[in-house]
Amino acid sequence: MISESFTENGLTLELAAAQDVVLTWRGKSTARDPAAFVLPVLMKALDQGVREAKRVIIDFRNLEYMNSSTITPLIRILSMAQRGDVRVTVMYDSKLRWQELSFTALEIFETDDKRVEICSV
Amino acid sequence: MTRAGGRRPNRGIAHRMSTLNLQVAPHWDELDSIRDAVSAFLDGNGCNRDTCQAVVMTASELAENAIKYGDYGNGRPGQNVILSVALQPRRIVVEVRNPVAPEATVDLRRLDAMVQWIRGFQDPFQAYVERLKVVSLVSLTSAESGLGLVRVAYEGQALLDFFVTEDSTLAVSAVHQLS
Repeated sequence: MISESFTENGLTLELAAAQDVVLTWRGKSTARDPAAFVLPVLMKALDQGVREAKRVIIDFRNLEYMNSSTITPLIRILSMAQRGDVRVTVMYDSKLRWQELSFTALEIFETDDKRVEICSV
Repeated sequence: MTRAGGRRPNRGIAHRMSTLNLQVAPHWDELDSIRDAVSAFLDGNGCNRDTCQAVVMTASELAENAIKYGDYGNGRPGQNVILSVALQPRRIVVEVRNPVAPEATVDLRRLDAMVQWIRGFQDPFQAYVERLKVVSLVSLTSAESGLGLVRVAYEGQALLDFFVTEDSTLAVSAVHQLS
């Protein structure tokens, strides 16, 4: 398995590929403009998913906090995925109330065929 | 900000009265210390994890706005963000104050429009979802979201209000009802 790690301002994004492309978020996302850091990594994960015909799993379960500016690049990516061919799963921890509230709202980006899906564990 | 007992009851907090007052320089780096101070204050007063996270997020989003849009006179000393978190019977009130420029009427009109728009929804979840749809249509590289206040209403379960004082200070409040 090949993996890469990207860290900035207390946020670490780990990108790994095996059966799926998995992008794991750790720490806190509190930057003034988080998109500058997270968007290229999200795009890289999506590109890899398309290129290798793999599902992209964006895993937030280890994220402790994110500001609202972090949600912006995520929903733009989900909106883009909704209109494209890539398969995307957003995973969150439903035991954490803030994650449950934040991520259930993203179900509006799910597709009927579950190509784009929002899942809790 | 992770601690056990997310959905345990808030221990006796419904009748407790206490206030945390902070005054910080309008620098992005100060947000970490704001979140830490609010979290410690709420934890020390018996708030459960879920309440604590909701109120910390609220304080942080309001403080972010204060830093972004406040008028600090090019770093003139004494111009700070003033934040308070007040435990009142059955509710927690977060208030953030910042100086505004006399010509900031456009920003204040936008703030007023956003607060009124959020209040127009019976369920803040609907407001949040509507805002997500709007933001999803904006260009991938645009930094603007306008999600902060609507997130405070929905995820922070808070009622928003604001006023401007005679000395050009904007005070934005978020009232979180304790269940």
